[in-house]
Amino acid sequence: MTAEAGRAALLLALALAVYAATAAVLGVRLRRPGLLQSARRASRATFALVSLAVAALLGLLLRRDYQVLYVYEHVSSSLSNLYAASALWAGAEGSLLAWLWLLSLCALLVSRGRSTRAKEVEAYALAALSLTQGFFALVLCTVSMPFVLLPARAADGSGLHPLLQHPAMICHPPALLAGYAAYAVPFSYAVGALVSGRFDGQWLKSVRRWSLAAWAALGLGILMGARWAYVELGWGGFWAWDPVENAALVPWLVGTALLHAMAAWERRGVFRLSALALAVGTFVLCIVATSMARGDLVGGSLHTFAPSRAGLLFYGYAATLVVACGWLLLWQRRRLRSEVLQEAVSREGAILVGNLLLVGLALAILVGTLFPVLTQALWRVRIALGDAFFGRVTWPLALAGLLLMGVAPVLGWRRTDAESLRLALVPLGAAVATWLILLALRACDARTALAFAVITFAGAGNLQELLRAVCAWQRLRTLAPWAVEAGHLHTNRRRYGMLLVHVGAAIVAASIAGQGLGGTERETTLQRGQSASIGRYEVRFEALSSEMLPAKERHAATLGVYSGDRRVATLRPEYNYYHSVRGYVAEVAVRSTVREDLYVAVTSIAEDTSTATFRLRVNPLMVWLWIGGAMIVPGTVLILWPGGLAAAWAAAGHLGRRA
Amino acid sequence: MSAIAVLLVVVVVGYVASPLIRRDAKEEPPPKSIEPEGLEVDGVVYESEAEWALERLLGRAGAGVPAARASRSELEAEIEAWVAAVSDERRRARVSRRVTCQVCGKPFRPGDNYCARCGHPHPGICAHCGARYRPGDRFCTQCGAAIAGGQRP
Repeated sequence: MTAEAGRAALLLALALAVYAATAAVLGVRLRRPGLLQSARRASRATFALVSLAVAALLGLLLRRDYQVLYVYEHVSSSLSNLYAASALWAGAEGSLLAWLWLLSLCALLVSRGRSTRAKEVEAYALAALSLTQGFFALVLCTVSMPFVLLPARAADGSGLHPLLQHPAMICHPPALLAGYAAYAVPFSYAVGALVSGRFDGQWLKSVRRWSLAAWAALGLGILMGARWAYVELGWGGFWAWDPVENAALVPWLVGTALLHAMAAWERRGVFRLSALALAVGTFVLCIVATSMARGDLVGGSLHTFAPSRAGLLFYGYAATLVVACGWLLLWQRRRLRSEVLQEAVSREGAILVGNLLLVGLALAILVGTLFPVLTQALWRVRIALGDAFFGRVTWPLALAGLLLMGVAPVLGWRRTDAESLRLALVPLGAAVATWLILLALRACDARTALAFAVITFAGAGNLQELLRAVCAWQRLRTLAPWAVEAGHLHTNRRRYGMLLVHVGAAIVAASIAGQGLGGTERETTLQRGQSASIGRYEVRFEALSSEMLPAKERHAATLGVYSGDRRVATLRPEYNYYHSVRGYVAEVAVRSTVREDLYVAVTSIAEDTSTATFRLRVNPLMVWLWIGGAMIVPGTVLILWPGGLAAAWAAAGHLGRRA
Repeated sequence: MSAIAVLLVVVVVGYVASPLIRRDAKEEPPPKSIEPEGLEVDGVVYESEAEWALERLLGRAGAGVPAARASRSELEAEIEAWVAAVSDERRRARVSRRVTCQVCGKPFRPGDNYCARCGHPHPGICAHCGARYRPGDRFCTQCGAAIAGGQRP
């Protein structure tokens, strides 16, 4: 009955989404407020119905109703309730339902929070959002139905794959999906603006917030995915240029360009055409990423779902969006022409070059990922590009982007005087000093030293700007205390947030470049009591314990880690046999310090358990990847915190007093 | 089960279709914007006077006209004067934008088409068809009726 309720809710949601899109368009064309209001209500009802379907699937998973195919395939009786609930997004159908739920939540928030002056744009945006919801509901109701029933109830389910039973996998897919779904809002507003011809930017501020929230969610999702790959897959790295990983990174890069283009539009009224094209492009790439995760077009991925027709439907939908929105952009191109840049050395000039680099980087990764498909189509042979290609292509583009990131904060909008440019000499000095020190110490090769010099330039440039802003703020407080009171929360949070995120990006880049600072790897077979050395560590295999659990045979090795004569840590990597997959899965043990990670994974155990083979790695500066990446959170929260109300209240209070 | 499904459909259809049935259906009042108005100086939009003043102190914002770089004390005096002038200008602009009823003098709230006190029409809507004018319109864009004077909505 629960499954039937879920299916009925999805069917009704499909009908309502199509109605909402039609009513919104007719309402605005015929100037019928009743129709518009009805469309908004339909959007809210769609959210309620999709929530009902999600609740139904969640209930089935928690009740372990093995008559439902999805439940049978993704949970088992031995699985904890937390992982049983996370199975909602562990499968292709469930994750699509979660996608639709998040999309409906975005549509609900958009239909509630309307600005006063852009009704036409908002009506068309609601129609575009509803059509997207309709497409997802259609896929769910046809080729990807999560409520398919088995002829008879099974005794137990297959269970969640052991690799997916990790805390990062509870948060990673919802964060990615939230990012994808939130990018539907800028896309819808771009469509709304293109159809209605309203480019006055009244809706720009709220859409900028949506873009930032989507960007942060997607970034965090990617970061959590990298963390999962690092601690769960056992190969010692965090990024394998896998098609599904790349597919999530590409919209994030284009979304970064979108944020910068929107800032330039808001401040200077420039890059309107490219901002709209980037909004459309980001969402299309989110759709492509969704299809890559469920189609066998590219193949060879660690974590694609089973191939299904849904993947092809998504490619078809993405192609339709490209054609339709491309035509709209061409149609409106004359009206979107903006002022020519007055000076190349300006903030908007830097944004233009930066966006070209970001889009170039995204395109290179996309082409590299789709290369097997392209060669198959052209020459009937699949040629896959490996890590070397991606490393060679991304390295120079990323360094150029970091250089720009270091210099852009000192540039002014419209023009920059020579004195401001001279401020860049301080980070430049720091960069040269870093380069010389690294070369003098022979700590790394010339390429890594150059990367560190550029990263120092980027980090120091943003830190300097942060300090200058704080000092200038102190001066301003003495000059115009009321203006400070009125504008502090709103104005400076955005600036500090942006600088924090930039510093975080520089830290992430430093961690990635840090792999060139003497990282080592070795695979060694040890008997109990034997030691192996790696880097400055001596690792001693001390014990191996085994126990039988309901779902697995657990084998845990105990390793003593010594630095010189001092014991610095005890690591317990595991190598467990899971009955559900009839195979071994390694549980990695990591000792993290600010300087480096010692990474240990068991790759095999002898039958008599007297010897075991270990993969030992030293990954320099690894912990900084997570610290720098996590700086997205304070940076974005700082920018998005609803301080506008406080600022408006303070300004009104001040004006009242002065009047 | 089928009874529950029918009930669900009836509730949803009733909720969605009710604005279509009501003849007096009006646009829902939009929530108030919490975003402060921007400030444009020298072709660049700043979020507030404070942000402009901060950018000026950092040596990046223009003063309205390209000017030679001022000394520190001159810059500070300039910012103080500017901040005061701009805030006065914005306050005056806000007050002048408030349209009042021609009969009873009560100010119209945003979105009002008729006076809340005496019911007199808003001076910015067409007397013939009720459509809103845009600033500078001389004829109604809906019915073509001439607009007397250069009233602003």
